[in-house]
Amino acid sequence: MNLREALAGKEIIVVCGSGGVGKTSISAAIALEAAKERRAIVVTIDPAKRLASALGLDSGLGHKETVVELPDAAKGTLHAAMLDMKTAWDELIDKYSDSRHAAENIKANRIYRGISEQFVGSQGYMAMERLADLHERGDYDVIVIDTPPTRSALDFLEAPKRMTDFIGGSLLRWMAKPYSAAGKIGMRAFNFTASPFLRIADRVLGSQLLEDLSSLVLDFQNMYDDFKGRAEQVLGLLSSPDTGFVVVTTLEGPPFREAEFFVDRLVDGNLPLAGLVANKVIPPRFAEDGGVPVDRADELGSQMGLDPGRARDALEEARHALDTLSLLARRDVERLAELNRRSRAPVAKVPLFTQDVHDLEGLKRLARYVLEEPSEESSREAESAASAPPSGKRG
Amino acid sequence: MARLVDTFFRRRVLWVTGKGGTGKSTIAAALAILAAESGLRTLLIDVEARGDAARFLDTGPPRYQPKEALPNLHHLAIHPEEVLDEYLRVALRMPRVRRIGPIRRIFDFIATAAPGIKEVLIAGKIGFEERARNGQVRWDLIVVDAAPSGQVVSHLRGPRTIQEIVQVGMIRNQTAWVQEVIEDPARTGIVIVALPEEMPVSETAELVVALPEAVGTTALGIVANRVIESKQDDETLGALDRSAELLGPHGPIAVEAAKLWSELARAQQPDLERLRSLGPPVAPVPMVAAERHDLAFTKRIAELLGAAQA
Repeated sequence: MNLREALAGKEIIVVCGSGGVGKTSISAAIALEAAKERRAIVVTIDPAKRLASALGLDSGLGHKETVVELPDAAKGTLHAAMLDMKTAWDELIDKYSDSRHAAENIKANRIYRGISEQFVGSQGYMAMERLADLHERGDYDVIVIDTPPTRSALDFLEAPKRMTDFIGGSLLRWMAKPYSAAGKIGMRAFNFTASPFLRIADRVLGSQLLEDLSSLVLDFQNMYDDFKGRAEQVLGLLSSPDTGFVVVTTLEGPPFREAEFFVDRLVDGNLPLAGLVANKVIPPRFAEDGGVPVDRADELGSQMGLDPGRARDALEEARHALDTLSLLARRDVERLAELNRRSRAPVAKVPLFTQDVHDLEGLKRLARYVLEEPSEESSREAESAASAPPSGKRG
Repeated sequence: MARLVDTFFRRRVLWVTGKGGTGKSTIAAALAILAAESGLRTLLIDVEARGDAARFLDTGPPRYQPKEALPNLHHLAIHPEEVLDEYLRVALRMPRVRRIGPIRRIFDFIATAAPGIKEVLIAGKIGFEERARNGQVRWDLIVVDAAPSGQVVSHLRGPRTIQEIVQVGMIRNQTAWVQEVIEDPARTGIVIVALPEEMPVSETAELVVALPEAVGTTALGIVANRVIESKQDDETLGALDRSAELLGPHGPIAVEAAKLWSELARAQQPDLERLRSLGPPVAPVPMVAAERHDLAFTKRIAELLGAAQA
């Protein structure tokens, strides 16, 4: 089975992995492929400029959904959207607040103003919120979500629950009590004798911070049911058979270990793992114990038409290149085998390209590697096409 | 010519940051090794309890108390819980809190919602280690394996954020000296680790621009990690290509490797040029393939980093 088959009919595709492994390009490639037949959208956090321009969005990739011009006769459509945290938070507050007044109250809170950037898992929460929103509206057949770069790439899974716990937590209600009982205006409660711990918090952080916090919390509590409902809805969506998770990784140590952890976590959580994508793989043909006869540089140089010094340099560099690439290729072979042992889901291999994706052609080529298993021979052709310099860029 | 790292070592605290996946923790560990080797009593701090930099020193699980990893080189990892405990003891002169649990939950909770609290505890711990105690400076240099470039500004700005949101309260007064350490270019330096690829270079550029406004200081240097060097021109590569069969049974794959190597090196050039155009000095570290990222590997990286000239 390849990833195309594993993703067939999926309505939601969640692409996760550590930062820097190529998640965003792969999300865009999957969405582009889906757009051949269906109405697809890719939601991303922070696309590279070249990728945004590959999607024709260099001028205006913003929070709004933007249509991507598809050159051929695609039967479907492709949209792209970015997650802007500040806009997302403000929209959310507007949507869930009881009144305009309540919304403005929250937005004016000193702590709220810093929260959109700082709140732990904020991006993860917003990605899930956006997912639920898009799914509910039903304008798209396929939603591809590129998950935010977090320390642990599965943080977004916990995000809705963490947000609900935060707003509805008993600790918070207990903390907010002395302030809310005294009313929000003026009268601040001094009756901290009830809790020595709160007395310490008050001494260290100051009553005003605690007041700001408790007033924010009270405002948020009115939205508790909305948040809770949403968290349940998101969890339902994520565990549905119409959803597929794609774990992207390179075979470098840290992202690889992280990917193994994601896979286990998805399997443990009964979440539908559709497949893995190993990116920047060194083709296995380099895994050769090769010797380059540097000691014969003089003789070979004359046969190659190079002077001895240049021939020696060239052979030494070739030896170094082969030594390095063969070590990496062997490592990649081993780690791919480990991935296959760990899960029965298909593992797609994307070879190391020498150029970033910079146009739709590049995305299509990427999609082929992600979704199918091109033969070694056609891979070579694609690699050499991919390493052809973009016009006028290199010399 | 002097080594570039020696200009870094004139500071007292080095914050090493960079986009995830650029090798930030390896470079932090390598810098600490170089400093220790040049005779500085060095402390390597991991801002996260899981201690990535510690892994590259083979020191076993990281601890909150400084632990000697190599001669002249100690290491510690920051556990938020222990920072808070230490803070309460030192700043409030509280006896060791017996039941840190409830207090930690309250602080955890507040730190989740209010920006700057967690960050300032971390920055405060770093400043605390920098300070002389009983007239004695314990460390000549502190190397911090800091937050990734996306979040490091909020860490560096932690004290300023606290000043903005906390009007009264002890923590406000106590953050002033932390801010002083961070914003003093004689004491604190920021080193950014990047790969010669589009996104890491863009994040580096953004950070270089953001730093003066955020913390009133410029980046001390940039480490360009995993640089691929190739000296071959098209003519030489062409000659190699034509003579692949002459090079023995592995000739064809060796020539293919040489061509790919040269392609990769060329693809990095525009990104390297962009890094060099940003202002701070750039230390290139060539790509090293290794089966395991152990101490031997970190020492090799340190050697290559040490070769960069000012």
